[in-house]
Formats: sequence, C-alpha cells, structure tokens
Amino acid sequence: MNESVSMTSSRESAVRQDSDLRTAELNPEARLEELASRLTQELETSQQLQQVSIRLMQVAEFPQLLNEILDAAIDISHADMGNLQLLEGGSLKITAHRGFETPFLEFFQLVRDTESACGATLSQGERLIVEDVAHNPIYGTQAREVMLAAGARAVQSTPLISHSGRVLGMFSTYYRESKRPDDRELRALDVLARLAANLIDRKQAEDALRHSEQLFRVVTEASPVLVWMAGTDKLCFYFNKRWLEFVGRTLEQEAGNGWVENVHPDDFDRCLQVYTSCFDTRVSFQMEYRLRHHSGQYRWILDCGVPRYTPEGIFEGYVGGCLDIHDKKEAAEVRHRLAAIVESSNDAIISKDLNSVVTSWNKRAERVFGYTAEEMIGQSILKIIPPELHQDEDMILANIRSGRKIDHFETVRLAKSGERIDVSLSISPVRDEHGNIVGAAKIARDVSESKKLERTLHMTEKIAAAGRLAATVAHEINNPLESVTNFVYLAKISPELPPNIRRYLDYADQELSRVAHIARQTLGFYRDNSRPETLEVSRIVNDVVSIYQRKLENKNISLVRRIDSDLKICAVQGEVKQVLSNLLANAIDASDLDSQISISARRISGVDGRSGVRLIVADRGEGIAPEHKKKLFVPFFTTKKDVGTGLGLWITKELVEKAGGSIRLHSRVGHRSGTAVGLSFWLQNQLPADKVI
Amino acid sequence: MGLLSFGQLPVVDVSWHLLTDVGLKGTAVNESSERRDTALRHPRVLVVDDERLVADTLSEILRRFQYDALPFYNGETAIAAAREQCPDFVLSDVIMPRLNGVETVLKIREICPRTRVILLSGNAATANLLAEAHSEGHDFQLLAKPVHPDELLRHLQ
Repeated sequence: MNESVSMTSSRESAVRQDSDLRTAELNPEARLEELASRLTQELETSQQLQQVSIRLMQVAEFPQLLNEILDAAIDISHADMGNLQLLEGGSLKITAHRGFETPFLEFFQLVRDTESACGATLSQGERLIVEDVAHNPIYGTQAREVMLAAGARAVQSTPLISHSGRVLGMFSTYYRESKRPDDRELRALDVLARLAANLIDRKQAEDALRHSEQLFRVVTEASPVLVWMAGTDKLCFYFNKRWLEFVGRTLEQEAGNGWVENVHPDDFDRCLQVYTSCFDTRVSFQMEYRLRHHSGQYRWILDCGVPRYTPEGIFEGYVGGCLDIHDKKEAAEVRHRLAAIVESSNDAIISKDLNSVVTSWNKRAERVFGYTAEEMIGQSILKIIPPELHQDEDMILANIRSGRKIDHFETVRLAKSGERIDVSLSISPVRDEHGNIVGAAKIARDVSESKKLERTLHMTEKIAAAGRLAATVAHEINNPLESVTNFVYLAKISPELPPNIRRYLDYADQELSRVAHIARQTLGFYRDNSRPETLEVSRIVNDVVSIYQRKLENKNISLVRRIDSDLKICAVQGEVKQVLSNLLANAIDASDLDSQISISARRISGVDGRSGVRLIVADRGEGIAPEHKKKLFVPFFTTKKDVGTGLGLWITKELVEKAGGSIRLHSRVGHRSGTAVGLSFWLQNQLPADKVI
Repeated sequence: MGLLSFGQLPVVDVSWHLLTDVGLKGTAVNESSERRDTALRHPRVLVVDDERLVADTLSEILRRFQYDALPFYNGETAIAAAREQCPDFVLSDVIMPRLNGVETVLKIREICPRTRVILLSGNAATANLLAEAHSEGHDFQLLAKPVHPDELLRHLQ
C-alpha cells in the first residue's frame, strides 16, 4: 500500500494504509520506510490536531463546536460513525452524532450507569475499547442488537475531562468491522479529548454566564423594584426599566452621577454620604430618601445596596434595589400623627372589641380613670362601668354591631379610686379593611368639671337675676318706704301726742329704719353710711326678741336668755339686729309647739389672745339633714318651701364675716336634737369711743 | 290706696312757716313761737319728686321746721317756680319721667347759681347721672332713699 497516502484524505484510505504497514514489517528497508511513514503520519496527525484546534477555537456556536469535535474524532480514529454525549443531570445525552439512524439514537438517547460501553467509560473516567461488539459481554442483548443493527461492530469511547477533573461527557467512534484503533490514533484522540473538554467547559461556563446575565435582565426588567448597578468607580452604569420609568429619564441621563439630580435637595448630602462611605468600606447599606417622580412629586424610596463580587472574590461595584415606600411612609406618618393626636388628646380615647375587651387606652384615659394602659388592655370595659350601669354596655354594643354611632351619651364611669366620674361618651364602630365591624372607638370626655361649672354658672345666673330683680324692686320699695317714714315722722312730731302712742311711733320709726337698712343691703342699693358702734348685747337681743314676741307666744315657745352682764360688741346696729333676727326667725320656724329656744352670749378669747363675744341661738327642732348642711349658706337655698326666701342665712353669713366674725352651725337629725348657730365677734373691731357715732 | 291724694293729708296752716324762729331751725317748735317771728324770711325749698306722697310729706315736714317748702311733681314745674323766685334749696328725686332730677337741678342752677342742691335716689343707677354732673363741676349731694327726716334736716342746716 502506498504509505504516502494522506491519512486525512479519507477514512477508507487510512484503513488501507494500516494494512500496508503491517505487510512492510518484514524487511529493514521496508522498516525504515515504515518508520518514515509513521513519522509522516505522526506529523500529519499533529498538523491535523493543530488545524482542528484552530477550527475549534473559531467556532462561536456550541452545537457547531460539538459537531466539529465529533468530526475530528472520527477522522483521527478513522472510524465509520460517531457520537458525542454530554453529561446532563447525571445522564449522558447524545448532543452530536454522525452515521446513526433513529433506532440507535432513540435507544441510546440517554445512557445511565453501565448499560453500555459509554456508560461504563463514564463511570470509570477512562477510555473503553470494544473490538467486537458481537462478542463482548459488556453489552446487554438489546443494546448489542441495536448496535449491530446500526452497523457498529467495534467502538472506542474517550471521556471528556475538564482541567478541574470534572467529567463533561465523552465522544465515541464506531467501526463497521471488528477492529481496534492503533496507539497513534488513541494518543491523538486523547489530545483531542483534552482540547475538546476545555473548549466545552469554557463554552458551557460562558453560556451559563450569558444565561445568568440574561436571566438577571429579565428578572430586573420585570421587577417592580427600581434596580441600579454601579462599577468600582461608584458611577452607575445600569438602571432597570422600572427606575427609568419612575424618573421619566433615559439611561444616558441617569448614567454616571446623573441620577442624583433627582434626589431631593434636603436628602442629597445624606444620601451621597451614605452611598460613598458604604462604597468605600464595601458594606451593604439601606437608606430612605426622596426621589423625584416623573410627575414632579418627590416620593420616598427605600434604597438597599450590596457590594458585587466575582466568584473569585474580586470587588466589581454595587447593585441596588429601591422600593417606592411613599404611600406606606405617608400612611405611617398619618398613623403616627393620629396616634400622637390620640395620645395628646384632652379626652380619654379607648378602643374595644365586640366582646368589650379593651384594645387601646390613651394617656388621658390613664389620667381620667386612674388605670394604666397595661392594667386595662385585655381587660373588660366593665371594669370602669358602675355595676348598676352594666346594661349600658349591652345597649352600646347592640348599637355598634348594627353600625350606629352614639353621640354625647352622658353617663357615669368608675375610676380606679372608686370615684364616680361624669362623662360624655361618643362611640363609633371600628371596621376592618373589609368593612366588617370589629370593635368600637370610644371618646370619653370628663364632664365632672364642666358639670360643676354648669352648676356654679346656674347659681351665678340665679344670683345675677336676683340682683337685677332686687335693683328694680329697690326703687319701688324705697319710695313707699320714704313716704311711710315721713308719715310716721309727721305723726311723731304732732303736738299733744299721748305718751303710749309716741312710744309706738318711736318703735315704728326704729323698725322702719331697720327695714330701710335691710332693703338697702338685700335689695342692691348698698350705700351704708352707718358705722359700727358699741352695742350692748342684752339690749340688742331684747329689741329683736320683742319683735318676735308674738310669734313665740303663738307657738308657746319658752325663751331662755343667758347673757353675760356688760357684754358689748362693736358692730353696725342694723346688721347685728338683722343677723339675730334671721337666726331667731329660723329657730322659731324650726321649733314645735311648747318647745324651747335659748339665746346665750358670753365672752371668749381667741388663740391669739383676742377677746370677743360668742352668741348662740339654739332650738330643739328636728335638726338639719346632712345633705342640706353644706347648702345652708348658699343663696336661694331654703327648706321652708313657700315661706323661705333662701336669703336669710346667706345674708347672715355675709354680715357676720363683714364684721370680721365667724358663724358655725351644729345640728343633728332627730326629734328635738336641735340646731345651734354660734356667732363669734372679736373686740378689736371696736372703734375708739370718740369715733363711735 | 285712697290715702294718697294730697287733699287727704293733714291740713297744714300755710301761715306756720312765715313765723318760724331762725334760731330754732331744725327742731320742732310750737305754733306760738312761729307766729312771733313773722318778720324773718324762711329758707325756700323746692321739693321735686314724681311720687306725690314723697314730695307732699317731705314738704310738710320741712314746713313744720320753718322751711318755705313747696312740692313739685316734675322737673318742668319746679324750673318754672325757680324762674319766678330763686329757692335756697332744691331737694329732688333723680329718677323721674321726662326731665330727670339731675337735668332739672342743672337747669335751676343756670337760673339760680346760689341754690343748694340735694338729690334723693332709691336706685343705684343714679351713679352714672351723678358722675356726669360731677364731671361738669357740680357737687351735688346724694342721699339714699329712704332718708330719715332727721338726717335730711341735718343736711339742710
């Protein structure tokens, strides 16, 4: 056989050359020729491998690369058919083939374990050569039949192992006859396998990277998150669609530092400071700032940035994602504001669920009811409802359940101290986001103070009205009083008046003066020109008693007078008489028939050494009920119904206090237990004798 | 009250006050001494009050004490009387319909600058009227009704 025939010409010629070489072994010349021929063949193989490697390097597409590898393997091994399988998920998959039809391909599409020569090769990571498929026990019956049917009588399989030792797959070349590839072919196949493995490995890695990048783009472009990427120079080179849509700008406008133009001026410095300082220290950051939306509105975003590294750990820059948190933040701000309003409210604001369990309790509620939020939350609202009003809660809940609001419901609640508090309640249903009523919000206004104020106001109005009335009445009373005084005076100065008539007229005159004085004091025209004078207590008492003599007699009341001798006080006579008169009139009204009234007066000395007089008027009536006691000195309060003005004791107190004295009342409820009113006057009110009129 | 007409008041002899002894002014005197001093002029007093009873009784009391007192029931008639003859005193109520007391005495003062004025009032509202008069330089005395005749006589002295 012609040894110069090129191995690369065709697979048929290669097979012929091989048989020619074996016949040439017999003589030395032939041996030399054979060596030269082998050398040539080796050289050709090398050239062939080099050409293959150049070609492979130039292939861009992965499937084409696999086909090229397979073709080269068939060429090198001078085989008739071949296939290339790659390991995918633990199985070998035929990814390129030459000379096989459907039955073979279908049968060997996926090869697992040691079912075939390929499987065996793979499991061992070594080459497998089967010289005669028909007799090799490695095949199962079915596999062998498929092989032989496809014309594959002999086969070699070479594993593709990457630099890192990872088995990537294998290529197999097949012969129609029983045969074994020679060493040169096998060595060349080894070289091809290594080259192919590296190329496949790199291509797969590239594809994986490209795939992952593609995936990254797809994900980020579809993401609701605003994504950016920056290089090691801190400059941003990528913004996803969402970001660009948000700011309404192009990637070119945003790239580099363009994006910071849209950061709110107030956030600008902080934003850049966080960005650069974290960048320099390669730490993740999270910050909130306002970014101008394409609508012109600055919206709050949450920006999270993390450093990016290559698999080898080389810093590549940052990647970040931003969320538009504006609405959430505004809602939170509204919530905080509302919470602050609730907390600082002057009304107690409470919420509860439909089982009356308290769910919130503001600061004011703590103050009004005395319970802290910890003490009340989780507890029943009944804790602050007085037992007799517990049915209120059923009414409230029934209203709330049917979606009705309760406005200004005035009721009473119990504080922790047990004190009852007047409150005005406004209660509204609380709904969840689906509109279901889940509880109630209650605003409780403490109206105790305003109730008190209302009562005081009412009283003041009453007094003011009385004052107006008094002023009007004063004029009407003072004129007839003037006339009567004048008539009495005229009568008094009539000549030849019988002495008893004159005495009566003197009394009448005295009493008229007193009426005039009282009218002035009680009816609003108070221009008291009279001044305090030294008065003998016994005389004053006698004067007053004589006015009431008839009344005392009518009720057959015995009057007991115990008055120290020479007891004097300094006061306005009309006022003292008014006071005594009021007390005596009250005592008579309180006394039953045949009862007793005592009037006593004695000297007293005060703790500071002052001396004075205590005057006591005591009756043996029914006494004064405790609930009336504190109202006794309030104007217009009377227990006498039709006959009382409610002014007597009030005026008495005013007059006594005006004179620097004090008034005390002792009373017990019960038959004949009586009431005693004590007045104390102090003597330093006494004017020097020459000033007394 | 049928009593309220002037005609039913105790009838007083007008000749009384023409006979009053000046030295006994302010105290009740008997008729015989009044008649002795006809030569002396008695202080003339105009008593003005829309309450007829008050005007009448006060005039009556003053006449008993040798004042030439005349009752008037409104400011206008009192002013007319002052025009005829200036009084020594004007004793006037403050609150009256039409011309009030302060207006009345101011008019009289215009006519008779030397006339002394005493105002009587049963109402606190007079304070404003009085303050007005004071601001115009008039120093009127004000007494609260009811005024006891003794006190009034003291003021007239």
